[in-house]
Amino acid sequence: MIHCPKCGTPNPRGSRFCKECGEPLPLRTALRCPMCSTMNPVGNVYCDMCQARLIPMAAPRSEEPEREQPPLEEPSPAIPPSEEEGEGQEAADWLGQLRASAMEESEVPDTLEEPVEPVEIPDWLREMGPVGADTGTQPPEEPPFVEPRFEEETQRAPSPAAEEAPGRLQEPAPADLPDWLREIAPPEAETPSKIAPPEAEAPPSETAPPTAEAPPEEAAPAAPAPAPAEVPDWLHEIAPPEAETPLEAAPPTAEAPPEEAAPAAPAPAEVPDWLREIAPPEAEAPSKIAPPEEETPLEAAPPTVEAPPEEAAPAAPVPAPAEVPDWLREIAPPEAEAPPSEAAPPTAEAPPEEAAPAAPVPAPAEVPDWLREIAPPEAETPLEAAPPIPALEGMAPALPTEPGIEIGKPEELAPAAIPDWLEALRPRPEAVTEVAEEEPVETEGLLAGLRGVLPAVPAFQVPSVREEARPPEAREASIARAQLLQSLLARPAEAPQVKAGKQGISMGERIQRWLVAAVLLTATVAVLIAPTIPVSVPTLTQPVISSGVTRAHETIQDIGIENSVLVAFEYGPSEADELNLVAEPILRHLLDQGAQISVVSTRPQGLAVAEGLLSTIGPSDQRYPRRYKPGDATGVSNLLADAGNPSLIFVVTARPGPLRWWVEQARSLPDEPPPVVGGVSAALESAASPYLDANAGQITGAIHGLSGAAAYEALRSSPGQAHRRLNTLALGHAAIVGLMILGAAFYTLGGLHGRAK
Amino acid sequence: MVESAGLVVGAVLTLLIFSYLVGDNPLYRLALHLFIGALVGYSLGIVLRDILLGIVLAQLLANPLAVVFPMVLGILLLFKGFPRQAYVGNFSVAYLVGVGTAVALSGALLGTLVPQIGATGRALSPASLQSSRTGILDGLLVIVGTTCTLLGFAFTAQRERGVGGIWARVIKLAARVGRIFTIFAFGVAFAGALTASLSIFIGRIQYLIDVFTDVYLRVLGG
Amino acid sequence: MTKLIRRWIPSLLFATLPGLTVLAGYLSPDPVLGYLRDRLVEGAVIVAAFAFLLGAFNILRVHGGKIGHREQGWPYSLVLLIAMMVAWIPPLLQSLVQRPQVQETLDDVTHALFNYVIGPAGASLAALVVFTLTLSAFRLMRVRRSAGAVLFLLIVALVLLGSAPFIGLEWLANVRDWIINVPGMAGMRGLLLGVALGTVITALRVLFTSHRPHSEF
Repeated sequence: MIHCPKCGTPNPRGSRFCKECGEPLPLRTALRCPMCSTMNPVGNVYCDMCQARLIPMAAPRSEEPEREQPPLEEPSPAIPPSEEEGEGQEAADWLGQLRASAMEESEVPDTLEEPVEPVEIPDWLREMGPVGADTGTQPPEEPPFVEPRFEEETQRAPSPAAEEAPGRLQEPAPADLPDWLREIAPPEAETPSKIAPPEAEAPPSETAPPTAEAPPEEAAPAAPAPAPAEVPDWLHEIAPPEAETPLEAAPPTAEAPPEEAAPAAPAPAEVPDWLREIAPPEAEAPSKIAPPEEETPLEAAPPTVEAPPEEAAPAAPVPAPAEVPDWLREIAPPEAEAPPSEAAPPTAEAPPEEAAPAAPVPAPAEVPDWLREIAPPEAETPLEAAPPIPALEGMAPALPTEPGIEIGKPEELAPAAIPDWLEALRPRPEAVTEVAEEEPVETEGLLAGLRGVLPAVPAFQVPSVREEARPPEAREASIARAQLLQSLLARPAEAPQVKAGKQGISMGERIQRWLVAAVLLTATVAVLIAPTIPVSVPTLTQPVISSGVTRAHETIQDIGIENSVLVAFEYGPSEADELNLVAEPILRHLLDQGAQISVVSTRPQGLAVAEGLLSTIGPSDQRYPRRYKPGDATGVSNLLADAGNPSLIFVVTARPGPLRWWVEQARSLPDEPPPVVGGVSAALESAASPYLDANAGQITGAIHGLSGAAAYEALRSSPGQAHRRLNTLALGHAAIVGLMILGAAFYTLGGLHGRAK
Repeated sequence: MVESAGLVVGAVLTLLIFSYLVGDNPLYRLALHLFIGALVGYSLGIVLRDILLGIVLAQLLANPLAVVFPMVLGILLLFKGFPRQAYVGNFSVAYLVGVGTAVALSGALLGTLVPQIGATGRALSPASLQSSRTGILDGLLVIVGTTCTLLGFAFTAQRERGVGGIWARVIKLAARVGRIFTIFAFGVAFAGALTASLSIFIGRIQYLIDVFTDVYLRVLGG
Repeated sequence: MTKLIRRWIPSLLFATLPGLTVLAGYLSPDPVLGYLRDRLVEGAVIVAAFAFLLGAFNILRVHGGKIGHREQGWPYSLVLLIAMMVAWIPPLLQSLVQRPQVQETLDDVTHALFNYVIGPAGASLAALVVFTLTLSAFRLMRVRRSAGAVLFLLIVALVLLGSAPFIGLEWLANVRDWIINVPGMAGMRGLLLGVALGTVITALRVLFTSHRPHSEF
């Protein structure tokens, strides 16, 4: 129902105007969901029933309700390191690339509860996009058939920092933080530096929860929503046993290195393999993973490529201050000399569970190849010496000041066995170099002089060169829907075929048809063929002389010799079988009276019919004046004007129109109108009755159909064909009445029987 | 002979058309299209003969002023057959509509409205009352029936309150009565249509019998 | 300018002016108006003849297109066009040919065409109507089971049986006459008055350009 905006009257759907007040109704009063076909109010963006999107993403921003800011924001991968941090820049670059490649595969997992496969890339890393390609982009458009839960979760999930302008880092609003992080970061911790309280409790190595887009749910699927002071398990593993100080789960900003970054080597018992290899000797006690890690929210391993993973922080050698991102800088002590790359094994995606399997602790003095390759030789600049990035001023988390946070020295790290999945993520320095060299240098603005600065235009407008992205994981339901859609689209387009010809009729209807045909044929053929056989048929009926027939006879009787009579043959060959019999007795009478007959017609076939009839009645060589004028009432008017002043108008027709035209036009003549006699079909008896009424007097007399013709013949005492067919007509009438009664009884009783059932 | 052949052709066409009783079939369609084509062609010939040659051409020589203007309009009317130039025919259609409307208007006013309303009023005249035994009843029925039928078709009552609502109910009641009289009128018309079509059917059967008899006798008679 | 040509000139100059002149000729006894009325009506008859030509041309185009594009049922269209092309020649030649023998032959051909093709086929089509009407009367109670339907059937039965009443049932003829001349006539008169009123209103709207069926606008 559509309610009128003016009077509120409910109108049927599809109405264009209000039935009460006539107000034009809005064309669209509801939006139909493309998935479940539920009608939604016009203002809805998402379906009330299935949460599918009603308004396309391309719709203007004004149509969409304001979205909440994503709770976590991805640290911009385009944050270039300062010039003094050359090595750090390199590290940040490859980390950024790593993150970017992972972001291409971004698909927020559906559920928090699903454990991450050991070989799977965590979602927070998956969502990390390539460098320079994801900032500024809109969140990926969810397919319309995404399940509501998924939709909800994606809404809740921190969207990638791609929404942000390049280089602009934002703190997530406290209200937008995922649960696990919210518990880590107190609401008042609006800057990374403010995440203080849990620090006291956070044990070990907590590297920054770098990824805003790493749904914290994925980050700690196995870990409960950590309390502010809770440290995730995986970080417990890498936290030094003595790391009692809480490593604050820095606000999930990439640029917010967790000041509570893993302080020390994780407890030997919980150190991930990869980290164990690089952990300092004292980090060989996995059991020493700090217990209160539950209270220290340890973000999942660095989802940000540029954020050295927290696992690097505790056990890895302290990265050179020049190369280490801010978040890690705060973690690592100033003397941490490990190359920044070491601090960021891209095992940010290695969830703690993955780190769970025990791995051999690397020899203290052995630095992994991958770390060695990216480690700048001179990476000894203390963290504090890192020049602040202007754009990041005020946003960077404060350096950890809590005592007790230590980062193992490179020489203490044992070589680690790199799992295959991690090996695949080994950054290619040459690619980084190439990319770095290809990228233009920014010439203006705050980021002048930096490479790899993202353009101001949204990235989605810039075709990015990136590696082939792994298809996101899809739920089975989504796969099924996609397959169904594909199968539907694969079908060849078939235009709906309008089936010509009628549908098959039922046997009952067919029997009825045959019954009616059989009865009528029998009634007519039997009587008509009787004289031919010959068989005598008793007279069933006699002609009935009505008042109209009598008046017609009297009128024609008054026609004298040389009186002009206009005979209008307003019928064609289709009605000739009846009207020829009607016109014949009157024409004979007129000819017997000596009238001057003029044949007129407004139908082209009328003259031919007249000619054929008159040739059988009168002398065959007699020619009568004939005129044909098309144009219905106009033609009748013209014929009357040409006719002069006839004494009588005799109209023979089977249609009400010509009868009315002749009657009206005859009345419209200025002089006294001539009398009109009608020879009409039986079908016109009802239509002619108002004119034939004695009070109206517009038609002086009339004979109707076969019975009227038979009556006129009886009046003239000259029975003709009409009289001979009267028997057949009477029997035919009886047959029709019988069929009507039979049908009425059949359907009435059948209906009653059905109702009784 | 020609007449017999013609009768046989006519009988065959009749039977082809009657085959529709069995169901729609190609023979019926063939006969139908043949009939339509012949009818249209014949009518076209009559129009060309009687109007264009008989009137226009004849008067073009005798009194050109009387036919030039209608001829030009007629030629413009033919442009209606071409969609892009169809607007040219608007002048001719306007002329036909204007003149035809005036003729119909005068006929409806003078030929139907005035006489019929007068006749309804005279239904209770002394002459009418004397015409039959039930003259007064018939007269009343005619007046009531005519008025109520007109109300039933020409007027619809809107829902109103108060005096308007009472009047609306009266109109509704009158319309219901008028519908009964309409049933009478349509019932008579339906019966008349049945009679007319039955008469034509009887004529066709008679035709077939006549043809069969004629052919039979000719064949037997040699 | 285009609007003036397409809209107002046809309406005022060709519809309203002639129409009002014809109406005045009917209502006024003035002979001048009567003469103008007759000339205008005569002109309308000639234009109406061209309208018939337009109809025939349209049939040619429609069925010719069907044949040209080989649409479904194109053989029937071919038969129609052939019959049409053949049928218009004899009546036309009747007025053109002066020789009596040729004229006689043309007359015979025209009559044969009319009496042996057009007549039987047209009459047969009209005769089929009785089966349709009888079948619909047979099924009336299936479609509508009401007092009105019963009354309708009763009226039809009485009128039919009264048209040619069997011997001994002549009273049915009187009942039939009463039904036709009193209630039937009253109902039909009401319908007739309604039609006439509608005609008057529409005619006035057309004449005063409120309704322009002839115009694109």
